[in-house]
Amino acid sequence: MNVDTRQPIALVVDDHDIVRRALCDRIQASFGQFRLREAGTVDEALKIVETEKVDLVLMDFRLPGRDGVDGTRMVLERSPHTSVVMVSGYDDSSHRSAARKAGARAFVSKRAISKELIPLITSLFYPQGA
Amino acid sequence: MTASGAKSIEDLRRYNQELAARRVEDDPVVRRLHVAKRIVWMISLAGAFLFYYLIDKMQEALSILR
Repeated sequence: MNVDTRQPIALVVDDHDIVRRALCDRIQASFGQFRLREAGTVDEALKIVETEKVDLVLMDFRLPGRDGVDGTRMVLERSPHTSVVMVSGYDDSSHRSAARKAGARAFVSKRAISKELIPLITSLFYPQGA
Repeated sequence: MTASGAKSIEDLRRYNQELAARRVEDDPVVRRLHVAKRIVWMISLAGAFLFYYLIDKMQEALSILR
């Protein structure tokens, strides 16, 4: 059996440096084994996805140029095995439905990271417990 | 012309006509103050928006970290 022992790669896509850094710090603090990549736009994210095997993408909803919905779709076209989680400061049903239609595994409000995102990543990558 | 400088009914009538025709907006001092008021209003609005935006992003970042 071929067991993948490499460190998982997480890509954080957010156009605001301060928010992106906070997300990276939060992921690093909770899941030290993740290798982190950062992008400020969808185009930057796609370049990373095309060159590395990214396991998890945290995609902001509102981004300059292509938005997170398009970004999610394009990431999944290039890398169908990647889990894309849409993260947004705006939490309503239309955002959630757009994220789901684009193929995102989940939609998480930026104000519920501890409550929703950390358990979600744990269930996706460490189903037997982190 | 001023009201005290009027020497006849005709002068007073002309003075009244001048007063009626005068628009306060045409006064250079009033116009400058009006422009200044508008500039202050726009700067305040832009500053308030920027400040709100910064606080919003700070709140997002802090709620992610906590």
